Amino acid sequence: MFNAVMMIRYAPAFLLFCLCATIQTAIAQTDADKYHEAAESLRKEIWGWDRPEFTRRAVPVEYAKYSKVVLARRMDVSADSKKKIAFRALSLAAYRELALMEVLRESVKLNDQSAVSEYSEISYTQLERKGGFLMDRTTVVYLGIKVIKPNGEVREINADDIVLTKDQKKKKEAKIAVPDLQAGDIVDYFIAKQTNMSQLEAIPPYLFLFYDEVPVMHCSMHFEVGKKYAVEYRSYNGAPEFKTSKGEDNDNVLDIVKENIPAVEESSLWTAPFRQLPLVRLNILLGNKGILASRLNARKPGELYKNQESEEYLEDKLRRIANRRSMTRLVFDMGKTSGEYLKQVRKNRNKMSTDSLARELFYIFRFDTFLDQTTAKDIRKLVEMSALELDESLVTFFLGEFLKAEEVDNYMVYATLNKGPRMKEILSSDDLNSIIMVRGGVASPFYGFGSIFTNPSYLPYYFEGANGALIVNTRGPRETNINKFEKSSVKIPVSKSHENGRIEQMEASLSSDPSLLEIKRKSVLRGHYKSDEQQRLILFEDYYNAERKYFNDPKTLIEKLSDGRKTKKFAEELESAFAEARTKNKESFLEEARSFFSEEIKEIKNYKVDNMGVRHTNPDLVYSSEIKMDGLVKKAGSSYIIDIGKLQGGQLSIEGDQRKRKLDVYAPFPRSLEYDIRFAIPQGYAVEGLDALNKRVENAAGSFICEATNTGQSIILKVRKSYNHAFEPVANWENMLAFIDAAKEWSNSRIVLKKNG
Amino acid sequence: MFRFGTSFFLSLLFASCLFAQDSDDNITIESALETYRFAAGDVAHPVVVKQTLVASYLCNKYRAVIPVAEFYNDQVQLNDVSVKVNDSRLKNFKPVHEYYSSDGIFYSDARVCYFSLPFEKKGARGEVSFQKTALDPRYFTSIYFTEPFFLKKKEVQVVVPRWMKVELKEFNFHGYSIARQIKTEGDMDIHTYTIENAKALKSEKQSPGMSRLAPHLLILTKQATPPAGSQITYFNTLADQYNWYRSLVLQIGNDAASVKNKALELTKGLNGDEEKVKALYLWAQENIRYIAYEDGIAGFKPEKAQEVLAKKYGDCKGMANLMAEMLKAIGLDGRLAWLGTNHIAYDYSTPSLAVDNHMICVWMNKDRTFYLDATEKYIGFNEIAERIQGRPILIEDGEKYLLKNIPVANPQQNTSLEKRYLTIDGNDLKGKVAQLWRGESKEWLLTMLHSAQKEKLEEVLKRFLTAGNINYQISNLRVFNLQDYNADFKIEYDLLFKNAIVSVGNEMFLEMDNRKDFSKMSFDTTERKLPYQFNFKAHMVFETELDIPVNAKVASLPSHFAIDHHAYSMKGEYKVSESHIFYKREILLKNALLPTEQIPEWNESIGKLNEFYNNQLALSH
Repeated sequence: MFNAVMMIRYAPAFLLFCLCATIQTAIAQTDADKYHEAAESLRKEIWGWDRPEFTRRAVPVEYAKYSKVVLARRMDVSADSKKKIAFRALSLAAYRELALMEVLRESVKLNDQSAVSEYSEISYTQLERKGGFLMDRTTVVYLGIKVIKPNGEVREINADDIVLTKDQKKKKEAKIAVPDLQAGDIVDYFIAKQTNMSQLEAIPPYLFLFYDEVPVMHCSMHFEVGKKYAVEYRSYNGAPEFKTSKGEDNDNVLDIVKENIPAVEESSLWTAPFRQLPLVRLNILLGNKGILASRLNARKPGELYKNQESEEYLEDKLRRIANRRSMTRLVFDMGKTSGEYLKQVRKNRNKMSTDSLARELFYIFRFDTFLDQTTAKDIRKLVEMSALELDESLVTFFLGEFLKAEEVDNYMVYATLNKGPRMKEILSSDDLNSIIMVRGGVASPFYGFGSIFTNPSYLPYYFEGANGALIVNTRGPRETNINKFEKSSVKIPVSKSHENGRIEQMEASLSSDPSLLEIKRKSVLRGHYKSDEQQRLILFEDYYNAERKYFNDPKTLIEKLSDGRKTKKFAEELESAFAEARTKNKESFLEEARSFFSEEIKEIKNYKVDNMGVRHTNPDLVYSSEIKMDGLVKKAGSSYIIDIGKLQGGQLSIEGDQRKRKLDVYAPFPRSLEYDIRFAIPQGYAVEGLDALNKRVENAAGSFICEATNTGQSIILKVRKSYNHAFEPVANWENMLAFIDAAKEWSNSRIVLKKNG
Repeated sequence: MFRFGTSFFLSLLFASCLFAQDSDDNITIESALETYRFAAGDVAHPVVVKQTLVASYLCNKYRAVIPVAEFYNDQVQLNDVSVKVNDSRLKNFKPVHEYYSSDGIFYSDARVCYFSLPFEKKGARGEVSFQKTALDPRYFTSIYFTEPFFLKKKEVQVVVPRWMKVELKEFNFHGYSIARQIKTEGDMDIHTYTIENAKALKSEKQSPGMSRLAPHLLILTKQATPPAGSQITYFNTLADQYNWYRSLVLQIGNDAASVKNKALELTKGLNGDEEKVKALYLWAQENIRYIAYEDGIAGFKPEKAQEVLAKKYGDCKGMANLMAEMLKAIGLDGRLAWLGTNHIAYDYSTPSLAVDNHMICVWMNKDRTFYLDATEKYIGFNEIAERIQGRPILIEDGEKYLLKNIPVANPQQNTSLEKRYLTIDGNDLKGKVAQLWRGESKEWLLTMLHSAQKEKLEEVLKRFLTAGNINYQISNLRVFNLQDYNADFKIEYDLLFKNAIVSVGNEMFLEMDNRKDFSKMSFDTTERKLPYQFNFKAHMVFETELDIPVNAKVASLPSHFAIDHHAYSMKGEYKVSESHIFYKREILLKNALLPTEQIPEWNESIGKLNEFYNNQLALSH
């Protein structure tokens, strides 16, 4: 529905375009001899580093228990630095090219077979050329490997032993098998990546972790950056700070050394490394102090920016919007169904509240963008909706612009992911994700897009609870002066656990074959639980037809397409594909049941989606089915023992190292599970063992509760599990374990049916 | 495994069938014509096989885009590829040519040419044609008939000049409509096969190799006397094939001296030949990593023993060669031997490069023969892996060869045994557990454990034993023979099995067997169309000795259960003494291959096994 129309304006942004095109780049030399010559000279240099950590051989006895120990790890980067000019000579240093050299060297003691396997084969991209209008980049990778045997003997691996697994003009991929590698050896290796590229291209950001699952005895990094470049950096969560100095030709030199980093013993379950673990980020950016500097929000050449304010990155983001607006204009080209409906909405807009208007427009946008398809190259992809993966931020931006075009005022909202860096600690505009906020209504104003089934007022889970989220009024679609954008901040709310729920209503009974359990099941999914199952269970055809009825279109998609001369053929084909998808829907329901129960499903019937949950007036996804399962009914004499706890489905089990925890808990979102199970007592039998099913673990972090009652004809189980918050301080970990364990243990619950008399 | 042309390409063909996962009738091949023409070549390649493969696709229901792929390598050139859509050349047609990498092979010269073929609407047609040339007829070993799509009709022509001696051997034609015809044109025989209405072969997990399933011709290239040349003997007899292999072996260039030092060092102080061979075999398993290169002749010629020793890696040929050299170095009769694993349908009655795909070392010890396959990393000495059991093996014997069959091991080679001694404590079971694994069950478990990081080994093992049940609590875990693959792998631990008992009034219900081996091994016959290949013949024994609490007695004892089928047996029983209940369940999988026609019967047996599992013990006070 939206087209970006390029508007050629002789504005500075376009001038920039022209400048780039005039840059001539040359292709780096690549023939084998020169490569080997360069590799040799590089090896000589890197092996010759005067760094005692790389000559260390002894490992403390207490580290023998680890699969491997990193004796030394160093990252050495030089970007257009005079000192590293020698490397530059290895390539054709073309006019206005940037020579970037990145070396990662590690010395690792291997203590077991798993470590030997890890280092026994190394794959890498030896050469990559990327060309285009704006760039021409060549990356060449050099490798050096030494194996140090326990007796101190050093064996350098012949790098000629590589094999090429991709040998194309623009890309060469290589592999090497490291010979004579055994547990007890030390591997000292480096990977050196030399990139020649246009100075207008961005150097990818650097991220270093100061933690590992094995001990790291010495970790260092070293940057030398030419004065054309600005550097911005930040240390997180107690990671060491860079020491800065000036090198030759006034280059900026940054160094970090950290010794004896112990292994992180806990698992990565529910962690947020950007908020919890020591790491360092650094960006090397093209400096600019010319006439375009302010338009680009460019950093100053040669400047070091430590811990930049987040506003800088917001400004980067906003300038991008302004630049996009100056070059393109969105044109909304509606299909017939949504276009007609839009006319009606416009006619009635004065009678509508802002919330209703925004919702109607949202539905029009969603239908027109994702459902109203008049052609497709591959029908199966369309019908399976797998091709409709969203760029959430982009779709949301277009939604915002569409709403503005329809005079529904809205602001952009920027925040970091709830597992990403804190708002005040961002180091890139890419750290900021966006949704929109509709102005003037009373309902929840936030509009995000998670999937093609998303409803209005959808707040993505990763936005929830964002502190210091920024609101920006980007004004009209022609406003390109960001100084006129108004900014403020907002606290994004969090959902409650019952809002993200799975509710299971089950009527269970023994089948005529008493080894089978029959279950009539109705599932209700709410909030953040919905989208995966919507994707799996809802048929494109049903979704389309439900929606077009809202838009008063009496015709199905097939009928509509059949009317068109050009689309008639497509309609016929789509009809076949829809029929096929309907047949395959059974498999989807079967898969859903298997994955929910973590058990084999013997039979499934009467499966259907009762409510798609794609409208704010009826937002729950509801589906139902009848299944038969075996293996849950046991017999002892005349009694039956039923594994009733298994109806709870697969439960999270926290075992081994996962139980030890020092870090706060960052789970995706608060959530709840509710099961109402009615089990019919067969005639002539009585239920025993019900008391043991009653369980109550309730604390600040969450709960697991089961209440079991016997009506005589049936037993009724009300099971509730709740994770109250997405974030829990580690002090609550034991509380979390208490209810998680209780739920897991309850899945072993059984009841006994005893024959009367 | 090492690459012997055909077998390698079979796997590619099978992989290409993945395209047909959603096999339906939307895209079909209406007609296909494949011509394979033996022709005189040049001095370097006196006989070549020129191949033209043309397939016409039809879109029957709705527009779609399908992937098309064709494989080639250094010995089989891809000369041309062209595509037509609705009789016109496809615009912007840019096929991608890449190295093809497959699991377990470090490097090979296999390449793939692939592209997308669009069908813009129902009724659209696509025609794809490939021109290929096999530079040496030895490498042209088979012609497969089915396609990844439903095939309405395909004609396969093999054009054989009279100066060429070739035999075409048919496999798996049963169940397919295939007509054959031979006619003569000039001095050429034209063999024509026409297959009609053949469904796409869908890949199913754990199925036997393609050569056992798909209709195809095995091409036995025997001899040629091209018009301008002298007679060339390919594999007229098995002796010819052996001689070719032997010619490669003679080129290896082993350095006996450098291997000898190592062999002597490893066997120093050991008495008896068997002890020495055990030590050498164990060392090779532990220290030589499997890394396969399948590059030209390297796919057939073993790497020098001293190179494998120095690099500590090699493929099956390199490992076999090193083993044989080490045996020779200590004065024993170690030999190279060729064989096809059970993936392959053929034996040496049809000499061809497609017959074998593996090499091992054989130790001829007077009247006993030991088969030493160092690629089986965790198997014991004289234990034989399923994939080579019963397979014909070609053993070097100087100028001649020996042809033997590797013995078939009984399932007890792979016994896994779990024995529990338990008492009842409230609703919990407490006691001691001992478990052991032999043969391939041991190998399977050790592979998992040795791939775990050292610091996580115990956790990995516990997770395996508890199978996710948090009530199954293990303490005091002891592990035996983690490094000695010649001994049984054993563990012992103390068990607290919480809430294993359901107590109701004066009764206690108890599930004696929470392992329930094979309980989920029934097959949905609407989905499973191919035979099922188990990894190995299994023998699983589970025993529990339970103390009967004072004042308690057995209220209900599940009935005995026994099935004795020629391919498997299953039995379970409870016995009661004054103070104990003895439970024993034993499953014996006598054949590792379950043929499709036996699946319904197998399902019925699994049903009965589950019925047995689902019967519980009841005690009363």
